[in-house]
Amino acid sequence: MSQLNNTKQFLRSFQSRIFIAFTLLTLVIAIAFMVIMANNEIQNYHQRSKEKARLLATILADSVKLPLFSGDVITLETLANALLETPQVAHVVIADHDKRILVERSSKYIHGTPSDMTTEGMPVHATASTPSVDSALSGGPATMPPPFGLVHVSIDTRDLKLSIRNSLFKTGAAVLVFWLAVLAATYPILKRITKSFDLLTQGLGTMMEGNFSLKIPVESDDEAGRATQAVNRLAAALEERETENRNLQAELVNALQLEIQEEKRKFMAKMIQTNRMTSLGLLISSMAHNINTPNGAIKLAGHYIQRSWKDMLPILEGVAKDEGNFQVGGLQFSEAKNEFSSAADSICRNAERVERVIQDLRAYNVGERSAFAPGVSVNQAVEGALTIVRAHGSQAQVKIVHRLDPALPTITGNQNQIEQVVVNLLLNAMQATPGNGEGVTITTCHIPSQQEIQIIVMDEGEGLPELVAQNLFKPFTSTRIDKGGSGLGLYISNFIITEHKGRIEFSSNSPQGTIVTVCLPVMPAGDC
Amino acid sequence: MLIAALGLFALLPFSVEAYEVLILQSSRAPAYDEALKGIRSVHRFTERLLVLSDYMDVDLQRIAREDRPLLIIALGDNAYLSARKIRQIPVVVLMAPNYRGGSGGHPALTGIELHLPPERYLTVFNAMGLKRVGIIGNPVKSGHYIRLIQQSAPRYGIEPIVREVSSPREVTGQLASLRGEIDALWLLPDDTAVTRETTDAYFLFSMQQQVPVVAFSSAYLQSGAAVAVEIQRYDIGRQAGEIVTALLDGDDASARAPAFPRKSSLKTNPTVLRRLGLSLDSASRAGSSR
Repeated sequence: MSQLNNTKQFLRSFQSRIFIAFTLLTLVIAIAFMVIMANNEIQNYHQRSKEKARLLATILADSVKLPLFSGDVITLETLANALLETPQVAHVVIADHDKRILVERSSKYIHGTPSDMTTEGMPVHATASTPSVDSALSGGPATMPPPFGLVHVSIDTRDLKLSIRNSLFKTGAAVLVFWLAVLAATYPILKRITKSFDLLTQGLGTMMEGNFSLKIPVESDDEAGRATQAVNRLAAALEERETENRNLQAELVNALQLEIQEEKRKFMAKMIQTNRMTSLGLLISSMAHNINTPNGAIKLAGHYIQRSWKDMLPILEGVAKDEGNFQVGGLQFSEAKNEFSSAADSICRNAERVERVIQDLRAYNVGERSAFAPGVSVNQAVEGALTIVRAHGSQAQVKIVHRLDPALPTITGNQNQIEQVVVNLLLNAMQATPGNGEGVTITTCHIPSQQEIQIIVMDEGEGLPELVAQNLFKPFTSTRIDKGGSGLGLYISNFIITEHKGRIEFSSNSPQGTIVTVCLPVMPAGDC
Repeated sequence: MLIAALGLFALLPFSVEAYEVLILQSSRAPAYDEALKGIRSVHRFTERLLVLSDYMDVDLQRIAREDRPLLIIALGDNAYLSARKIRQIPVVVLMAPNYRGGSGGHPALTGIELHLPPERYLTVFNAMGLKRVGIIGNPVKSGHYIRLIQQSAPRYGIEPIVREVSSPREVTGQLASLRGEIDALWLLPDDTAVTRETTDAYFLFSMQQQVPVVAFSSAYLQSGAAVAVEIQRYDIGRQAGEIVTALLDGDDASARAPAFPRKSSLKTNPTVLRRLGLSLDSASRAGSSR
């Protein structure tokens, strides 16, 4: 198994693949070279044997010219026998122009099959340059007469075949030696050449394990060397980036921790605020109880004074008429009777007002918040909100103008919740208004065409910053977080109005300030 | 197409203007052009040139009958053989190897033979100091010329040794019979004795026996001939031109005997002469060009 793995690893190696490819290529080239050379050698041998046979036939044709023309068979036989003495000449035939064989001789020493022979024939012509009598006298062109004989010479090619075989064997041996020499020389050369690649791959392996601080040595200025330099630069850049990432991560963790702490702080502040509000609610309940009791007494006393004053006034007017004007509380009766009456009315009215404020505060604090009911008067909700806001006391310098539509239809909804929305909007408007003469205007109106009631709160304040305008209804969005703002007012208001199937719209109040429009549908109670 | 050809054929007699001399030429060869140039240099006449090798078959009888030329000049063997059939018109023959001076029954046939007078050759042999001269020839074709040689040779102290052949295949055998018998070989313009196949035998004999070959054409010098005494074609033309002039002036052709060429030129292969240890004096050279 280990052997198999080693073999697989060897075959996957870049160096091994180059070595195998190169040696195989060399082997193929060497074999191709051998085949081409052998083929060329065979062709050369055949060509040479044919040329030799042709040359011998030409020589014979030239030498037999005269005896063949004169029919001298004895001379022809002599010439044929002389040619047979030439090495490799196996067979000689001399024929006349009718192809009648005059002489046919075979070598005594060579006995081969026809396949071992190469035979060439040659016609016997007169000398080409010799003119005829007619052409010599007339100067006309010499014409070539037809041949007057034919010779055939066969030579034995067995020696040539043996030579081809020997040549092939020698070539094969030379190719094998050459290939082995190439193999022996290639491996160290390849190892030396690919040393840069080895270093590079080893370095890359180390880097793959995460060690980018490694510097791969550059052995040469070739492609591998340049690649190594590039990898080194890349590794350095990666290492630097990793350091930066680590730093950024640490900074991010720190920032997150800070943010979490900040959020925690804000959350705790809100918790404290909520707790404070809860305490405030309890305080209001307690205060309402403690105020209502004496206020009830004041109210009763006021009513009693009023009634008493009504009874006493005719008597006192009679006394004044009879006895003349007299002093009451430092004032003349004629002046004091109006003041007294007005004071009694003021006591009653203010006691009622205190009672109403306390009632509203209690209703705001412990009222039924989620119950929807028909016949809810938006104007009453606005007045209730105004009462609370005025009672709040802060931003007292901001003048609040209210224009309420007396013909406003009632809606189905929760008056306390609408009152809470109006309180939030008024407080926001007042807080946005600097107070130097500017004021806040709240208006209610009915839009019959759209079957809705609008509560419009306009201020002349500093307007809404762009960032805040985009995140108005998101929780914890406030420009006054640092001043105790919760950032939940508009978020809750939007939730309440959405529950009433309505909407809240913001627009700019030219030349400055903001207009907030609350649109509430006029619909039967059953539709909610 | 056929009708057009027939129409042209019918118009042919009228399309050819009347002329004095019909020139029959065996083929288109520079030698014939050279001889014709010689003829025209002597006498200007109106002519029609007919090259026989340009046609498959020529109806010479019809042409002669319709054109009625005053004279026919035949250049070459084929032209000679064709022209001698036109018996009603005088014929002047030149450049024909087979024209041996005979008229062949023609009433008005004359011309210039292609053989030089034997004396020209005998002068050369004499100048080289060669006494026994071997001659191979076909008696049918060269018998008359051989006889002329045999008649003239004694005057130059030359002994002609003649071997007769009737076939080229006999040449090598006859040559073998001349071994050791002769001092020189005289190559006659005989197409039985001298063929492409037998020429080598002459020069092989010359090389083996160390005897010079005297040929009738300089074309054999490169094959191994030592000396060539050959005709001058332009002068043969001039010689024929003079005959043509005389015949056109009214002379009788039958009264004119065939003539040998007047002039010859002597050419040698110096290498062969040097190898054989021979030389030619200036007198024989000058005499050859008469």
